Amino acid sequence: MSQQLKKGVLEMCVLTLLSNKDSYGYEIFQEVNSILTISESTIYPILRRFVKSYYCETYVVVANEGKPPRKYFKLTNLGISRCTSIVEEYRKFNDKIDIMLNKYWKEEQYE
Amino acid sequence: MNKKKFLSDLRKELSILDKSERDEYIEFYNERFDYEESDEKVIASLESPERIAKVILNDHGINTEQRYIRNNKPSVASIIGIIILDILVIFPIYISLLSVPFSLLLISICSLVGVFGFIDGFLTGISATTLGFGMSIITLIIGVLALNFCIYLGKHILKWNLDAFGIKFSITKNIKFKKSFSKPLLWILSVMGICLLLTGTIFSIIAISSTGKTQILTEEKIFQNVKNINIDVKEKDVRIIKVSSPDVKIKYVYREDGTYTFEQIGNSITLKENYDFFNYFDYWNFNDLLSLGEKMVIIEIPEDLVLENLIINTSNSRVNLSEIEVSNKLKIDTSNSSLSLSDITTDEFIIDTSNGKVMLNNITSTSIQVDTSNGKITLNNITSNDILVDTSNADINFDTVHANNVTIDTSNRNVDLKDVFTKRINIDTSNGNISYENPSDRDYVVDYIWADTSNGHFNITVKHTELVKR
Repeated sequence: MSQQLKKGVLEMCVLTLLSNKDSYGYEIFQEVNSILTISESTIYPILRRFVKSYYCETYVVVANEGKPPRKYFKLTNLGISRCTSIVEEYRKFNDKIDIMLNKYWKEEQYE
Repeated sequence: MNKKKFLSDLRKELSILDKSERDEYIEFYNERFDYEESDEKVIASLESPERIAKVILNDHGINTEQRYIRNNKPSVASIIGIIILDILVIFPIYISLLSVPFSLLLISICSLVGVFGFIDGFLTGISATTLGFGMSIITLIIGVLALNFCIYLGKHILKWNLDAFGIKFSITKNIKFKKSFSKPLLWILSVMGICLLLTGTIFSIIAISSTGKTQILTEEKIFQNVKNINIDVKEKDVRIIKVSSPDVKIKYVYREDGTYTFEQIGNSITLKENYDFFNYFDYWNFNDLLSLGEKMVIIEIPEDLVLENLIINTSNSRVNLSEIEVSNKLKIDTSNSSLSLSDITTDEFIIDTSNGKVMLNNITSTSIQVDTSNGKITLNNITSNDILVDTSNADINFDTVHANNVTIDTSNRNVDLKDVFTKRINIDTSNGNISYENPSDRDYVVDYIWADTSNGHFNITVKHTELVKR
């Protein structure tokens, strides 16, 4: 999948993932990566930006077995509404692209 | 590569970011190492620090490509070009810019020190102190800020140069304009300085307006049978005028608050201005600025009177003497004044000034001694047994001089002698040229010439029996 396309939707993916459950940086990467195959370094700037623009809050969870604490990310109300609006926007966008594709793209032509 | 090295590499790559931003990313990756058992495994799964930094910096809108191009090796021609630009343009401009803070800091010190020169009574004291301190504080603040700006600019120039040469230096990154004053301190000092300046201005206006009321008074005294005159004043012009009346008249123009004594003992008269320690500071104050040139001593002497001794002691003022005859000693002691004396007959003639030119015309005397510094000495049409002339950093010119012994001492300047008929002459200058010729009598023989200059040329064309050149 092209990097350009991924870049555009990565924010939305992380937002939806966090709307489902709180998570920590590495886990977020792993889950997104399992579906989209992304580079790890792209996740951290996004998370940082979410905190900066108040979409996310962080809290620290002390793990057992002597493991160091993890920093969890939790969507704020602002983050949730941002998530809703961007998903809605994406759906509309997607529908329009589908119309575009259905109308002009004739797969048979090139088969 | 281990965890520590990985993180420090990443930190280095991100050094262009603010510390707080950088730390956040480092924290992410630091935490990242906790999720797997071995650090090697984590590093293997991660991209290289350079690659990660590139993604992060791109996210911050920093074009990383440019950075790498800039660090490429520059060509020799461009290095030479930059060095020439540095030397010819940037360096001179920077140095002259640098003089601004330093002169400001100097002004700051000077206005503080200068205060003491102005203390004269309550009003001037207060106004000088407040003005001086205010000025000092304000210039100190501006000076320090300007100095900081220069340092900041200097770092930028250095960074620009190093970048151009392809050298990466950690000190040149993250240049920020640092104020060395904390903000409240800066404000307090500024307000204090401005308040002091305002107070000082108000007091100076009061002081000056009250000074205007100080009267200039004139005192006249007539003396008979005078042979010796002794004048000891400060900041006053001294003039001697020939009159037809038989008595000596001294006109003393002075300020209301000045004190003086007139004294006649036998045939000697003395005019002495009194000044104690505090009046010593008086010698350059508001009052004097306002009445400069108004104060003077005028001595009227009968046309046919031959004085025995005439001693004049003053400072920063002109002394005008002409057509005077003194049988014993004529002494003029002044500072910072130019002296122009002509048509004088005396036995011993002593002139002492500093920073003033001395010009003597038509003098007949047994000995002449002229001592000045930084002033040009010109002797014209002189007849004297001994002549001693001492100055530094100024030219010495002689024209038509008859003497037995001449001693000339200057440094860094030229000695130019024309028609000097003497038996012995000593000339000493260090960095100046010595020129000696007698065009009106080329056959005159000087017994002994001793000429000393270290870096100058000799041009001695007079006849002589002995000549020592050094």
